[in-house]
Amino acid sequence: MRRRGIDLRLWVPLGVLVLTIVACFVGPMLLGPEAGQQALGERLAPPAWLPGAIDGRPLGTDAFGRDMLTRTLEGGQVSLQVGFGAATGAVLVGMVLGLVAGYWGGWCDRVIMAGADIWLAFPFLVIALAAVAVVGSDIPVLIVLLTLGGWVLPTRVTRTIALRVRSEDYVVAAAGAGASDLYLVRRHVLPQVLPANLVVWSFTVGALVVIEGALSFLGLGVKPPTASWGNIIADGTPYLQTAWWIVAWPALMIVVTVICANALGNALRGRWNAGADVIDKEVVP
Amino acid sequence: MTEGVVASVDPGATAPPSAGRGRRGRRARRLGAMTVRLLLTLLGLLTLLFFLVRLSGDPAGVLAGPSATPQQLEAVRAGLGLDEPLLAQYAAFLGDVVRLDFGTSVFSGESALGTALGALPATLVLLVTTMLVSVAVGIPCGVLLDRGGRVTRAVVGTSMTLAQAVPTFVLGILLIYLFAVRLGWLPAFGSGTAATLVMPTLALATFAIARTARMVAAELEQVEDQDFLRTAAAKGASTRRVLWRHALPNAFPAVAAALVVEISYLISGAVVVEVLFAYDGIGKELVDAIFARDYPVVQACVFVIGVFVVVVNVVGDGLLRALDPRIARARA
Amino acid sequence: MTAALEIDDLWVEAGDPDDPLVLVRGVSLTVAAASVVGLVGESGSGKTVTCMASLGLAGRGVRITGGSVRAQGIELVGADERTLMRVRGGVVGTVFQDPLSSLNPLQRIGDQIAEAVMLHHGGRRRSHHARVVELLAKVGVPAPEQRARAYPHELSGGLRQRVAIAMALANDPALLVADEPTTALDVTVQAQVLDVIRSATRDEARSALIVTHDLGLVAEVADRVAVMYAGQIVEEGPVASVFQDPQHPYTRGLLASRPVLAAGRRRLGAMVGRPPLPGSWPAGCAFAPRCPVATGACGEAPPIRTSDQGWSRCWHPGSGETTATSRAEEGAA
Repeated sequence: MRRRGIDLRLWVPLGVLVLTIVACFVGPMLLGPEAGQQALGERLAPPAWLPGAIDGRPLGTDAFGRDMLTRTLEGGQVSLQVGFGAATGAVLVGMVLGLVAGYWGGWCDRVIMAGADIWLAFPFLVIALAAVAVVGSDIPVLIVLLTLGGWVLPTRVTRTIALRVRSEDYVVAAAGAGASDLYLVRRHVLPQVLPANLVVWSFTVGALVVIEGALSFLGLGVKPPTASWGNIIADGTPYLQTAWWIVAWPALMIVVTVICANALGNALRGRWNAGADVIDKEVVP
Repeated sequence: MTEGVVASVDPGATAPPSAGRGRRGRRARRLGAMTVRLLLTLLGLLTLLFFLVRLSGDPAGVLAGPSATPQQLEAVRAGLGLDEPLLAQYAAFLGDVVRLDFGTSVFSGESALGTALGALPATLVLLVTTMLVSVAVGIPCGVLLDRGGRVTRAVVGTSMTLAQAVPTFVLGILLIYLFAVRLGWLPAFGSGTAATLVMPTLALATFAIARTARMVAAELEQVEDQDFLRTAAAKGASTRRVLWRHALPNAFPAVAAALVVEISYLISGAVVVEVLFAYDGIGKELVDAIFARDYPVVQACVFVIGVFVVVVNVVGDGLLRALDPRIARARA
Repeated sequence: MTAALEIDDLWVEAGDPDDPLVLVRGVSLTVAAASVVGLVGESGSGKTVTCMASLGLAGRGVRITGGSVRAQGIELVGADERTLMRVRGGVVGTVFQDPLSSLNPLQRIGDQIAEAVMLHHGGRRRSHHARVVELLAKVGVPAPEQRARAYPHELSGGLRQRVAIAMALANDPALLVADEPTTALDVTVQAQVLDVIRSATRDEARSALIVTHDLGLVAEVADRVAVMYAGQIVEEGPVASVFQDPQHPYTRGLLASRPVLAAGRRRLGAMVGRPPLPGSWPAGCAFAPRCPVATGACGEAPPIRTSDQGWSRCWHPGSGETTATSRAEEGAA
């Protein structure tokens, strides 16, 4: 791949995402457990630069006097775990299904693609709501549920690429020369499928962070007092008039995360269009 | 031009007489396939729903109340058929669905399906206004995104990126803060009046506007290099006429198809928006029922939403096919 | 009498204005009243860009940087959109290469032709129905009443191109511009479409500029021919004299490389090398690297030599057919 300085479109969103993850998982430890405790004497304190702010509560406090910085970072732990976890799950599931459908074809292909079509016609959030209401909503359940919410896109992408690669002359020739399916998939199909799915993964992270936010905003995500960006926002909504900061910080974090995830996806897509060609050239004699 | 030349041209130009029958046969087959898909989709939805609801939680416990004796609980269970084997319950459930009998709301005692259907029109109003706004704003934005100058494109593009990144519920809260809390122009909650429709529509439409705009821009770029636009210009049509009469109509089918698929996303968004703005639609009914553990109403709501989405997909698809002469009048 | 089309020292470029890609370098060409001019050359020579840019139809990013284009005396370079709209379709009718993609797939062909009439005569599309049927009949579309209601995909390639010609003739323009009008068609249909073009020009005393790489087509319909190479016209003259006694070695190469049935057992003279792409045109005479008669002098821009009723741009004009052919064969072997 050509080197031409630092590609800001790739590294800026990546850096912000990594920074967010590190801050969310390390930050609360540095701030100490005390900051996340309820302190009814310190309710609804504004951020540091407004009159009435309390020392050591730079982003203000919520209706229970908890430090907003700590709450926001803790909320990020849940939202990011669910978002990244489910996106990873969705891409893994999608890659397996897509390879099966695209590479082996036949009735597998028809069943999987029909399933994908039908699944897309479901209003996913409605299903998720009903499911969470019944099954409950700890983090593993949410990850599994949102994995179901995101599997169609990677499946379709993988299938298309696998279908294309399988009919390439060099793959047909290798198969004719006696190469096993497993070998062909590993050697020829995966190298093209993986970059594309990393792009899909990036976009899926953004989409699923939003869905997790919506679920917990509706009160159907993780149970309080465990924080999640969505339920902090829900808790803060009644105080919109007096304490906008309760809603503002988690909302900002969601938006930043989604923008960065989308930007990362776009940057990777731009980069790997070229990458795919390089791979092609290396494989074709 | 001699008569001989005219007579000898292009044997393939005339449609074979059998074309009409073939077309009708194909249409019937398509309709059949669609119906099967519709039924499969609904069956999948209902099955999911049934097992989710029955496998966990105890509707009888909720119904009988915390102070019920074991005998009372048993009686309620038998009354609901919950003491039968799961498969028998499933069969009975499907039978009820076929008869459109979802039971009665645990709380109000009214028909669950009636409750769900009663909440549907308000949601339809919200969806229709959202669609209209997203098309009315999205198409011009898409045109600007494709045709605008460098600055216009950057501004519109950034707005669209932002519109796609801000979750509906965050945007809704932002709107409430701005228009209800700060400016006091619009009511923050409620339904029934035009004013209460404004913010839910805006919150819901923003994402759809961005999607529409991107679709339009992408399609325009695709259509861009097509010769028929040059032909139109060569006939003496103005740039504007070429865009609105030739380029956009050709970009429209793909955009409309995307909008039809979008309906299931929009419904999901509508649930959030209805709860946020206390707008009395089927989404709010569903969430209320979930919190109240009113399972008959939950099932009825999911069923109604599912049927609605599937019907929109099938009808929309058929409509688009009917409107596109390339498909509608295509010969085998 | 005003010429139908006068292109004078036209320069066209595309791409980044700071690092432009020059596509046309000072082309001058006149299509006299009631005459048909063929503009020939290999792909990439700039022949299509020349005529599309003249009408302002070359697309985004392609711009005219110098020269003038007058259609029936109306200046088109730098003209406002209103003038261009009046000229396009009204004074100049245009036919494109691919008749399928050049018709709007969503509109009935009758409506598309009616739009052409309406844009210049006002009224509603429906009110021009009679004219539409008349035009379709004129270009030899059978059953024009019914065909007017057809969509483009329901017609064969030949009929589509007839429709495209009917559309170009809708307002009885003084000039017909046709860009490779037969290239996308089956060989059997090409002759028929050619007949339509011939009757639209000869029989109605209409001028035409026909862009093509098909010398046979030029021989059949054109009065004069201009040969383009690397963004310049290298030879121009009456078809008969250019074909019989080509002055420029490139023209000789083109003529030698076309299969002539009557030419007996003579080997086909293939031209050496490929035409250079825009952006990599050699200095001096651009044809020199492929030229069988090139000398050191060809490193300088060649002078324009007039002969009979035409001219050529060469240091060694008319240096004999035998030399050229034998040298070309030598190179090809």
